[in-house]
Amino acid sequence: MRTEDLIRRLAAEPAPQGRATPERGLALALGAALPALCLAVLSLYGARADIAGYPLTGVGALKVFGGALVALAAARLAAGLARPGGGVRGLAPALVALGAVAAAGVLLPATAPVAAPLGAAVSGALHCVWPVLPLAALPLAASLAALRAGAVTRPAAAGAAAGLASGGIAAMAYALWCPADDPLLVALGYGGALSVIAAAGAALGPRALRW
Amino acid sequence: MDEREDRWSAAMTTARSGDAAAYEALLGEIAELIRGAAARRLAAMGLGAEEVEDVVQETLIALHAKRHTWDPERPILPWVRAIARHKTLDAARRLIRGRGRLHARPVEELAELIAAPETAPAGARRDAEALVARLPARERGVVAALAFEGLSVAGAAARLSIGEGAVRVAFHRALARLTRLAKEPPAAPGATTEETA
Repeated sequence: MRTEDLIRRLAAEPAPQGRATPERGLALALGAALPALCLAVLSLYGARADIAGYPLTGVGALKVFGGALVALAAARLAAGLARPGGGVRGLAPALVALGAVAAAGVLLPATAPVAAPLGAAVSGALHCVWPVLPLAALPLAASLAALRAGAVTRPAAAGAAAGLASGGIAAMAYALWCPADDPLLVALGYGGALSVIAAAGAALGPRALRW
Repeated sequence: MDEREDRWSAAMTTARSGDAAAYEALLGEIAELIRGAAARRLAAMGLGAEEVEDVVQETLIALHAKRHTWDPERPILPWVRAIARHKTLDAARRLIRGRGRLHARPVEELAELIAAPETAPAGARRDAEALVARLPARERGVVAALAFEGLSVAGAAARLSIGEGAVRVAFHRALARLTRLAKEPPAAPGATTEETA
């Protein structure tokens, strides 16, 4: 077929009606995943005994608001990457958000009687935070599906951003139960989990986001 | 600043409100830009100029399908260039993987290659059909229409209600996939393949 004929045919197609933008799709995917994951955590593990005031304690705030901050910043980054030629809009705020959350984790005074030595913190973190990984699978799948409605030209970066956003959502939900109270342990455990999920997103991106 | 920027932004905005003529003129200009960029990139990668028009059509189809990802608040040229770059590199990777040779020939000629088993022993035809059955639905439909039923590209496009460019793209992808599938060991014991190397 001649290119002119193709163009004539494309132009004759009716204009799309209110297509889902990547921003709206991502907001929907992550927004719907949060209550679903909270339900999953409550039914699988239950809630912490002190859950009522917990998000206002130092470590509780780190998990809940830190997770929300990371999720928002990373979702914004991912949505920007779903528009060709947009560059990496939102990279700076995402890095600032990650840095602020990490710094809060390291600088918060330990509430545990004796701050655990580094080795114990690492093994404790691995032991207690791993459920965040399977929890993040749902938002990750949903956000990759939402990104497919856009046009991603850097699939590994967009996948990593979607992974980070999913990890933030999963961390918020898991905070309902997560018994870890040592800020260092929380920073290491959640930081490690977020890195793993971001890496999974980066690995899945090139396959999942082809168009 | 590029004089096309404002003109194209305005044209795309008009096109979005349903002005097909403006959209057609815009796509024509965009095709020029894509053609230039694709020709430069493919040449730099040592690929033939005969692929350029296929890449242009594939890119136009992709840009058309993703036209909602242009944000009217942002410049349109970087958007067009990013799509052209992405689709050209995509096509180039595919061409290099397929060693270029298979893809350098017109679809009609390749369809005859697949259809050839008709004169070969019945087993070979069955093998070909078994391989084709493992393709994704759209590619399967295209291969069946072109190779087994001998339809023209236009005929296959009409049958499947997709564009002719999309038929070509699906057919090339199907060929690449069939090549891969044929190299895998046969699924059933005792099945014969024509692979000798």
